[in-house]
Amino acid sequence: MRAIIVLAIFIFGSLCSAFDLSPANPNSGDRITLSGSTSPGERLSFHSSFSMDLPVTGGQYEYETAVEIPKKPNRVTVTARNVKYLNAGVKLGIWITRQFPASGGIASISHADVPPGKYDLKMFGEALAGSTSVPVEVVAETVAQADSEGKYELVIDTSGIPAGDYRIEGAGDLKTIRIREPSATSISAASQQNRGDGGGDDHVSSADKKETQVEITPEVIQWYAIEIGLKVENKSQYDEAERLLNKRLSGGYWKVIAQGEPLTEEAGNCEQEYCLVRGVDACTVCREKDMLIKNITSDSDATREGEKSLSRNISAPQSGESSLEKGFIGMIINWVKGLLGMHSEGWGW
Amino acid sequence: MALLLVICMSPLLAWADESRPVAHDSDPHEGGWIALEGTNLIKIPVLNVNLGMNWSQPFDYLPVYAENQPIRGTFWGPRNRAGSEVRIAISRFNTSDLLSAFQVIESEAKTKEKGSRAVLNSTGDARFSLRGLSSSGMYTVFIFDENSSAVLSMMPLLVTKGDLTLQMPANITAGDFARLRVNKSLPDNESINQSSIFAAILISRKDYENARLVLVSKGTDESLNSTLSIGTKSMQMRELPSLSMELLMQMLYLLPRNSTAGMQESKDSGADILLITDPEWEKGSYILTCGVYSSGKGLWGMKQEAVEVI
Repeated sequence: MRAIIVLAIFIFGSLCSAFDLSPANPNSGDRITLSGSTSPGERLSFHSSFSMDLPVTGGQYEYETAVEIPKKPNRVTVTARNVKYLNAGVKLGIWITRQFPASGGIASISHADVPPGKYDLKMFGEALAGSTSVPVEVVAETVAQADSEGKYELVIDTSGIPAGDYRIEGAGDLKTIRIREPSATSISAASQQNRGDGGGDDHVSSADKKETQVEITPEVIQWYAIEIGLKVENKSQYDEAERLLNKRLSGGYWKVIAQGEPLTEEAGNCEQEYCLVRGVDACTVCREKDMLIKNITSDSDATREGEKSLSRNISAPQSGESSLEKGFIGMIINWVKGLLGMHSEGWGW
Repeated sequence: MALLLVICMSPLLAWADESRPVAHDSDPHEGGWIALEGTNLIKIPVLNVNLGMNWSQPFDYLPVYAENQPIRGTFWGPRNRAGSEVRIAISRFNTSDLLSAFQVIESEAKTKEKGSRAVLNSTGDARFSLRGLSSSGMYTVFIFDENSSAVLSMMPLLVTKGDLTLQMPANITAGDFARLRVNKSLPDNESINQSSIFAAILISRKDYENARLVLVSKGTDESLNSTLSIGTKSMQMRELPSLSMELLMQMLYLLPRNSTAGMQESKDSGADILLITDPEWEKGSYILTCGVYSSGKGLWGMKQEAVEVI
């Protein structure tokens, strides 16, 4: 009888904790919705991770991507193997770079409480001699808060996550889904499928969003030239702007949209004459401004409490130095505080 | 970013210990002008102060001295003060005096410990030499009229633990990574194992020289409004700005897109800093500013160099 009760509790508990993922087979760049039920108000930690092998060329490796950092509390850990060091660059309006030395060929970065938002990231450096690839593992951690009915939901942006296995662990469950390479065919198919479903699937594929690439006219080139500080009246600078714009658009990853077209639900519509958009939902101007100014004001007291709890629950990476624990921003602030002789007096002047 | 903040705010803070504004004539022909010798110079943004009357910062550069490095210079005084005795003194700046500093003479009492005296020559000028300072930080050099205690001139200066050498290609290509090597000199008593943060920021000269901090106040903390402008972007702050995450993030947004920063923590006497540039960067002259800070030790050094983006 006791065994049945224990088993019932276990099964019941598992049923309550397990989470669902939608869609089951997303393309890279899609948003995955993680949802489930638990006790009302409960906070659940989730870890998601993926791995990739970066090719080594001329002894160097490099990877550039855009990733979305989930809301706080959070932690992002990047571990690269077969490397002499790892340079990490993040674009916070401007590029900010830092180098992380490797120990035994392993370099690791771990940052907690990164301000949420979309970031352009670059990882690059020198591989160990003889290495042909650099395995990289990225782990992101965040917390979901259940509502008064015990329901919780997390939306995960898979931009920057390469095709392959994507593991999500939390609420006593572990699920692995396969991220597919985005291709015109698959995006189109997914888009049509979702439209055809008539809302049966609550997942909104990125491909569902309206995407309109404006024609690259002289007017667009003039706009871009001004954006990057070139003078349109100067023929060579105009040509340079055209070349750079075409280079930017050549990969199909960037596009130009016109004023009023939708960007993200956070950033609103493109408010300029044109916007250069990365993927489906990120006007660089609006996104960066949104990230830099909007997100910094979102640290509510409740979030701070959550940050503390996550910080307590997550163990520090063993290979990293203590300094690696500090976020870029925190490091900048500490540095400025130090420069200005504000070691202990607080922040006010 | 951090450096920019320091550079922007340093003159502002330095003014806090400054006294009667009439003393700060930056015209070498009219006098009241200090020239410091043998210093490492950091170019600083323009500072405008409006406290009922308009003031423009008379300093283009912030002199940087290493600890214990003698401070030598010349006071180019007004001719009508020829033969007068002046006192040259140094004090640390005091932020709490920021506003009153423009209106009230309070500095003399704070500067009695360090100083020397000189008699102005027939053209109102005098050379002076002061002992080096043993502690890093922001200071202000004052020239007092010995009889009236009036401040004839002042100049902010920065004292760091040591000196830096920067190695970076004079030309970098937009879109490439730029590698900067920073080395610090090692004084005899410096611990080699002391961890330091090496940081650098690269900003176009045009934007850097157009950076401007405007202070407007009716004389009280509450009425102070400041506007920091870099290029076409500007940021307004009410009252005295407090260093915060929000301020730093806003300043990041303020920086022109063709700017980049890098940092590195190291226990060595030097470090490599990699700076990322984008292909869209405007070509031309850029200003590289580098600083090294050691926790518990303070600012180790600060240096600037010009770089050409091609």
